[in-house]
Amino acid sequence: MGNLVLRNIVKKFNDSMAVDIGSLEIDEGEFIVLLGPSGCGKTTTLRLIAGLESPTEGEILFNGQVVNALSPKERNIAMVFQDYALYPHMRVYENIALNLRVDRVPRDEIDRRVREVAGLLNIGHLLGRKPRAMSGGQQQRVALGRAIVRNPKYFLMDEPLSNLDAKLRLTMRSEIKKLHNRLGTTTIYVTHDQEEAMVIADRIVILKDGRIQQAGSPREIYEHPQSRFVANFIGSPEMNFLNCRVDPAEKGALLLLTGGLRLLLPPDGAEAMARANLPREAILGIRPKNVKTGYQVENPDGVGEVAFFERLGEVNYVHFNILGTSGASLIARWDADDGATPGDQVQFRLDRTRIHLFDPADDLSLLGNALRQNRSAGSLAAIG
Amino acid sequence: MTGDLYALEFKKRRQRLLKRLALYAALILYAFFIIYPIFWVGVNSLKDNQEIFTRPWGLPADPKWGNYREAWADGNIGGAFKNSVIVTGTSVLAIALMAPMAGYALARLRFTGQKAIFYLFLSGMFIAPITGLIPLLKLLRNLGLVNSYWALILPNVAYGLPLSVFIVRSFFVGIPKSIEDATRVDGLSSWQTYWMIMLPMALPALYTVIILQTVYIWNEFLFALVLIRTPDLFTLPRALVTFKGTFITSFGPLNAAVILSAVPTIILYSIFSDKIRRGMSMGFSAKG
Ligand SMILES: Nc1ncnc2c1ncn2[C@@H]1O[C@H](COP(=O)(O)OP(=O)(O)OP(=O)(O)O)[C@@H](O)[C@H]1O
Ligand SMILES: [Mg+2]
Repeated sequence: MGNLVLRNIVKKFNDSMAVDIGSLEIDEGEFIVLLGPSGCGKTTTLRLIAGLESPTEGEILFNGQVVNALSPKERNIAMVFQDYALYPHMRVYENIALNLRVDRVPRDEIDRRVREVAGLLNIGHLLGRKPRAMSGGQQQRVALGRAIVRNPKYFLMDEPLSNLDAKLRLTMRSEIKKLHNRLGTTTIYVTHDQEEAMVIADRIVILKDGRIQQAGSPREIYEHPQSRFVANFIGSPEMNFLNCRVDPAEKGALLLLTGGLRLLLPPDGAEAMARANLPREAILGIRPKNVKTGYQVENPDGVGEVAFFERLGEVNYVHFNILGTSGASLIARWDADDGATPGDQVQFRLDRTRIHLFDPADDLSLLGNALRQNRSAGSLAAIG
Repeated sequence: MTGDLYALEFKKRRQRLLKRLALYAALILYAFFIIYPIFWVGVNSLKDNQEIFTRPWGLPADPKWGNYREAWADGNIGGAFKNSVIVTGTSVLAIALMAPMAGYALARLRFTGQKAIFYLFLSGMFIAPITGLIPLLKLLRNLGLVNSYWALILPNVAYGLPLSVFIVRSFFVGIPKSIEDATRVDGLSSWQTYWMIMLPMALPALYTVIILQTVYIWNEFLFALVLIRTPDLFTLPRALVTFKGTFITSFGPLNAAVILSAVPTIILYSIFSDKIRRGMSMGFSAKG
């Protein structure tokens, strides 16, 4: 059993559903990221754990103990707010020390702990400043300091980096990760930035419309998205999606719906599809880096006409329309040093081992999807 | 081409300059209308009757500082000054204590009847004190409070609260909610949140309230006229009226008395003019 458990949690605001996340277990020391688009219920979930909101249904357990009725203070959590929520009339020192003062910690111990934390976060020289007189990054550190100083059981962070500029965001993100490695405090971190989530998380929980879509390590989520939503949300540039039709004549073959393009599925996928009598149509997903593209590639699946070449420096991407289809297009990684010119014809081949298939009816993955197995009760149990 | 640009730029600049000149001229004229009467009263407070009538516009040939002593002691301006300080001080203190509490509750707490109470306060802003004067007099008489400091303090507080509550409430509404979430996470009680966080944050609004109410109550005349009988309880505005009757023949001391009663508000305004201006715009631009 996890150290922090959400059990059948539902939260409604005036009868309108905000979150219905069901159950989630978080282990001691884990760095969990709640990820999802705006309005999906990340903040609400965090506030439920913090005790700033109480759930409409369900239980929250810390160490096996129900904490629903406890105040944020009694839960011994610390929270970093998106806008930092520093007390503007207090100096940095007092901002950090306040929760210790409220706890009646002896003055010299407060002083010791504040200075220790300030040293850890490199804000020792700012202790006499007011929040207004500091940069966003400095305020961010103070907010972290206020959370760390009390030695909480859980850190809760609500988009702590979203108010910083791009460069500082990268710096602070690695600092937060380092801090976590050093302190080992269980952390629940909210963001809508998938890249940030991938880099920082031990485990990502993806939310949509208040429900958990998938929970797993960044790698698991990246490599085995269980729904089209997750596949689309994770990774940049986004995954390519192509509408396909299963060829009834040839076992395991797919046809691009819009043209005569023919692909052969990986053997296990094809077998599974045949065995399970799967739908006639499917959505094929493949990430840009798994589309091999060039003026000449081995065993090409087809030919495309370059629409747009994107040079990012480290990696380059080419956008092209697949010839012989009406409007199907792909984004692919371009490995050659020389760029491609719009109008050029290029060959491409999809990496068979990296293909994802989704059911157009419910957008769930057709390959090895626990969610789907639960839903269609056994009929797909054979798919591994 | 560049010549045209220069000409254009020059024209723009000249227009801006002219606008500015016109603005300053208007403001100076306005300031003159405000300041000149005060200046004139000040000048004539140092003359005797004869000089006032023979050279009303001139500076005093031989300043009669004795006029001030006369007004202060014989005209009972000293005693009235003390009464004004007591009444104004107590009233403003009470308002300064209660208005932020009410404003905070109306802005941030959730309780039944909150809206109703807020609108009640709001409507208080639109009631002219004179309309409730007779019932007020009766009420205070029944309470046995007429002709005491309380007869002035209680109505002043009651009529001062609506605007004051409105000003601080608008300020509290503008404080981010996350600040209070932070205090809950930090373990502060509601009481501590109010005194340690919210009230200190609202100080600018509170200063505005204090200054506005001090000036207003210091100059308050209606209640002082109707609710106080004995001269030894008169506040300055009331005492000045009596003074005018008694000293009908000597304008020097009368002018001195006027200056004496105006000095505190003038000082207050000149020190805090910036805060007053900001506070006024805060109070009236804030959403309801
Ligand atoms: N206090 C509230 N009253 C009513 N509805 C609310 C309240 N707080 C949140 N909601 C609703 O609950 C849903 C989830 O909101 P939440 O703030 O948790 O989203 P979020 O994932 O944090 O979004 P964002 O990325 O924009 O911060 C939204 O539809 C929102 O409108
Ligand atoms: Mg949010």
